[in-house]
Amino acid sequence: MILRLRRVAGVIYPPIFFFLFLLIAWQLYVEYTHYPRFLLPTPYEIMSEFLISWPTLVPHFIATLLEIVSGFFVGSIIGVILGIWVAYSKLAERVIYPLAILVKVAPVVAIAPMITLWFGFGILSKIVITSIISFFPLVLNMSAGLTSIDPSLVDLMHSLSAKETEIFLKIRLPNSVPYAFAGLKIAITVSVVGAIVAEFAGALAGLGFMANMAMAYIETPLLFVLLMILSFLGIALFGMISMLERIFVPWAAARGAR
Amino acid sequence: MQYPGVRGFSVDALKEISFNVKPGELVSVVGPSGCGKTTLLKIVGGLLRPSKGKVLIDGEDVNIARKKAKIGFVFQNPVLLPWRTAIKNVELPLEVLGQSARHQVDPLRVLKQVGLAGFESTYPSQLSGGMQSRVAIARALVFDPEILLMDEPFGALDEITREKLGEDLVRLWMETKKSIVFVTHSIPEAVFLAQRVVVLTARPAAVARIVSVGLPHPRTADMQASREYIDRVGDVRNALGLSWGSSS
Repeated sequence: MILRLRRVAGVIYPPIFFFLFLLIAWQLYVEYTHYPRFLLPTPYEIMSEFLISWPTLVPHFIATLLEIVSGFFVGSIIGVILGIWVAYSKLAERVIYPLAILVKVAPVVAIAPMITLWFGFGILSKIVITSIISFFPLVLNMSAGLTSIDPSLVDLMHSLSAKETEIFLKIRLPNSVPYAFAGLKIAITVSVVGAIVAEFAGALAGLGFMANMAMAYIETPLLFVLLMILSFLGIALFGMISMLERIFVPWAAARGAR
Repeated sequence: MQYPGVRGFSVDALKEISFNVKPGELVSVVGPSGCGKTTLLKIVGGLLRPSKGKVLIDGEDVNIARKKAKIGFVFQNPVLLPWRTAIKNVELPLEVLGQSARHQVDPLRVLKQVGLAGFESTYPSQLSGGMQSRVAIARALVFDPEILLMDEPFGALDEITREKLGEDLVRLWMETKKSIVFVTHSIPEAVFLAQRVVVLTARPAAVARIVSVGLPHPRTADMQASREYIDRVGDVRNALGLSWGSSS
């Protein structure tokens, strides 16, 4: 028990200390060089700004969170369904992949305004944009997970006269769970980006919307606060997916325990 | 049981092959790498359809026998499902077969038979290679098939484990009286474990010779020094075109 604590401490202490060191260095640097505050505020200023303004940011935080989570869900579900289809149909594979890559590669920053034009300033356009960004990793990973089965296993199932539905439910689907989670982890991180970019293209609320305003009024400390909140949000969401992964993929953990 | 002529595909994988296996016999199939042993085994088990010829189990077509769950497979790679515990892996055929599983063996019992009592709840990633192979064998036995087809089941294991598992396989065979056909590329293993050795030529494979090993079961390690054993190994080697010491 003590050993585990020491090991965990060994992992946590270095980055914390390094981070604190950075903060102090930052604070001292700005103060001593009289760096223009509107370009680079001190950590102290940023903290003060946060303490003042966080109540007003709550509705925006909720708005953005809603966009991220809904877009992520919709994108993931679409991605999973397409992934299954691609795994089972060569035709689908040939049709979907180029289309998906096209959609994925087109710069979000460019298509976001168009989507906002079509779907308005409300939450719908944000969900559409975020889903577009987040679906592809799941198509790839899901189809990989469904097809990367050892052929001997398929042979075994055939020797037992198993039908493809049974092979799908008992073998392919469970096999694709770790793959799907890898895809979900990617999807959640890009969903955060997607929601913000979507808000930049036109919004009525949200952290990205606030960031736009902060930039317009050169309220740099506020900008930093928003960045901080967004980063933590991304980390928290990623962490939740990782936790879910540990629940749903216990056998990988069992290997780690060796 | 009888496996009449069998032939391969656009590339001739196998030539004319024909042999019989008596009920309850332990037969090994040995041949050079790539000769088509695995293809042959799959044809015998009804996983592949030969372009000519047929496979009969007890007089009925192999596909019928397969649907009746009379055939069990063990592959070189244990291919256990990593998300299931050992016992759940063993139970897999029972789940798939459902009603067609005429005879069932209690999964716990069959795990004990392969020497893994107490390991029911471990995951494959926590088991050694040899133990995984045992689980794979247990899985093939759980629905009590009449025939066991094994494709280099100990191929990925070290020598010591191979020997141990070979002994365990023979013991299992003597207990259960199943017909076993197992493919191997190890001549000593083929001769030591089986009653008859089917020797195949290089691809496209044909039966070069069938060697009967006249040693009684259970075989002990000291039999490997016996005249009979050495002669039989020599027969197999000769049939494979391999020299045997200074004699030609």
